[in-house]
Amino acid sequence: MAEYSVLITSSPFQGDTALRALSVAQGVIDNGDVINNVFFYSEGVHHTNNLMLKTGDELFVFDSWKTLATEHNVKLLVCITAAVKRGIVSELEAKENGLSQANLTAPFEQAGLGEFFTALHDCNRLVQF
Amino acid sequence: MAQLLIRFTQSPFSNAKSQDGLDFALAATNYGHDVKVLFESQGVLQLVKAASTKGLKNHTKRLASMPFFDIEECFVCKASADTYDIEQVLSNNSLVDELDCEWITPEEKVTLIQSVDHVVTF
Repeated sequence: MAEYSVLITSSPFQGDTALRALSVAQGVIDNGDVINNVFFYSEGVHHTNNLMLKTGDELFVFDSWKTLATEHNVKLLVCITAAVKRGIVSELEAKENGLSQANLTAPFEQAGLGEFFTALHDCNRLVQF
Repeated sequence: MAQLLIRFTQSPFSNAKSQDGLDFALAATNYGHDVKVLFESQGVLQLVKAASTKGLKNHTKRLASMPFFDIEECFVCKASADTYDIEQVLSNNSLVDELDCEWITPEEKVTLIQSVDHVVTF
């Protein structure tokens, strides 16, 4: 059994990248392998903004990740440094900085690169999208 | 401990990738991973020394800090440098010396990629 770490560094609208990432994640689970964590970094943090709205017949990544997390207990980690500078904030940052709204909520969790690299010691595969 | 190869493929200021990639590389060694760095495609332009601009992080200086984070193995794709015709510029460049960069051919690049556990591209 392989243990995977999934690194998302592309924005949700970069071609079919998000679609491929979600398909691979589902495929890993279907194969009976394990996803240790999905880590959203760089432009990838935009996947986790809960203020996004679904449009037409396009893939709605926010919901898809959420479903993956709740159905298969996959850990969704969001790099806090990359997220806050792009306006993806939790209740705590919203309160501390007088912002009107928080847009990062469970099952997405804030984490640092440290958590990603610590978990990587347990993973034999790393896939990046 | 995993062997990581970080590929820098973007010019230094065209998007956030160069900066995020460098943060990623510097963090990896702090958590016990072994990091190698490869400059290829437009990424070779990151090795051209850039002056400081107010409001932008100085990428040249930040790259020069890699040896202090135990990132000792830096590679430059020779073919990419040829494409941008900057081989001459880079051979007289103290950043390339400070990082002790090794010039590699496309064939050696494949060997390098095969020699590590994980490859991450920025």
